Amino acid sequence: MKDDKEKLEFVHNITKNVRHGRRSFFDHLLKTSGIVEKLCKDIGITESRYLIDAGLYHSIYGTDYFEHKTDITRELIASLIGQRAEQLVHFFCSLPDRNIQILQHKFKPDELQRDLYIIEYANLLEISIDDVQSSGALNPSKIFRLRLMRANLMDHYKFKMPPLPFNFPS
Amino acid sequence: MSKKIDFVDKITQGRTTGNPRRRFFDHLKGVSALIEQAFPEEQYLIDAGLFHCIYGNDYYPFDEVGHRDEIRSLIGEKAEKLVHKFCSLENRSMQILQHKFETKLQRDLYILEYGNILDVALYDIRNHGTLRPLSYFRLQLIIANLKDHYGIEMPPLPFEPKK
Repeated sequence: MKDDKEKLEFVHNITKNVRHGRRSFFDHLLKTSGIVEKLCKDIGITESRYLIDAGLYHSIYGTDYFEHKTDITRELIASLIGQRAEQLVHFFCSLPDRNIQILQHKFKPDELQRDLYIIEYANLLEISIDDVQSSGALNPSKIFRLRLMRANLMDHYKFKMPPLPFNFPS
Repeated sequence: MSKKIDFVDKITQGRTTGNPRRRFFDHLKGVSALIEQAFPEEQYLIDAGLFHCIYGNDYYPFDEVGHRDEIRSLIGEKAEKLVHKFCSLENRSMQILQHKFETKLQRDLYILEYGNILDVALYDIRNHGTLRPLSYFRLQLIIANLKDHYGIEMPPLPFEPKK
């Protein structure tokens, strides 16, 4: 596994021309990773390095915003962030209708389901914070999905989740 | 069936819902009919659909109705118990979609909530031509859960979400 600087530089280089709404895609990835780091600290997940890295690389194999580059191999990504984080990211990127599938609470083992909630929660929260900052509003569907994931992390995994940083009616 | 319908009709007199307003009774009948279309053999679910708000919920406080024995005698213990659970859930839709209840109860709650959301969605589309993305999302999630957790193939939704 590479050090943090190399992980960041790699993602920065391959996403430097990609936009995510009004900002750079890299900004979204970096902030998502930051939300994962803070969340893990808040809820007491000590073994969090692979989750933080997965947050930074969560779209590396392609999403609606980011087209997968064929020269990015799984081996290369594993060499950067380790096998555990790479496997999580690969699974995350491979899910069609990802939001629905993750919220179905159907993945085994339980730890995989938990990790998918954490990455998707951070991803959606980061986008929502940006939405609120730019427009002052938030789509009710996003609010509902965030609340549902938060409730699942509390009820299925007994985490004491921090409150959402906004309080819109759903 | 007429005794059940008469009972619900009577106790919901004067209650309306939706935009434009419609009789609350029409919503209850609509939910029951949608469940009957999908599960024609499961009478307790059809009845539960008709009575799904009988004890009140976050949105419709039927304070005057507390007659569990009477309702049990009309729709049976299984349907009454399901309705009572459904009505007692705070943040009902959220709790049901958390997939945290015992297997059979969870299935029945999904079906009731499916009928409930779908009836409102169809009414909104008839009157406004649009559907709230949140309603569409919740329906998609319930349909996916019924398929993947219970092997139940629901019919495709007859609409797309508002873009």
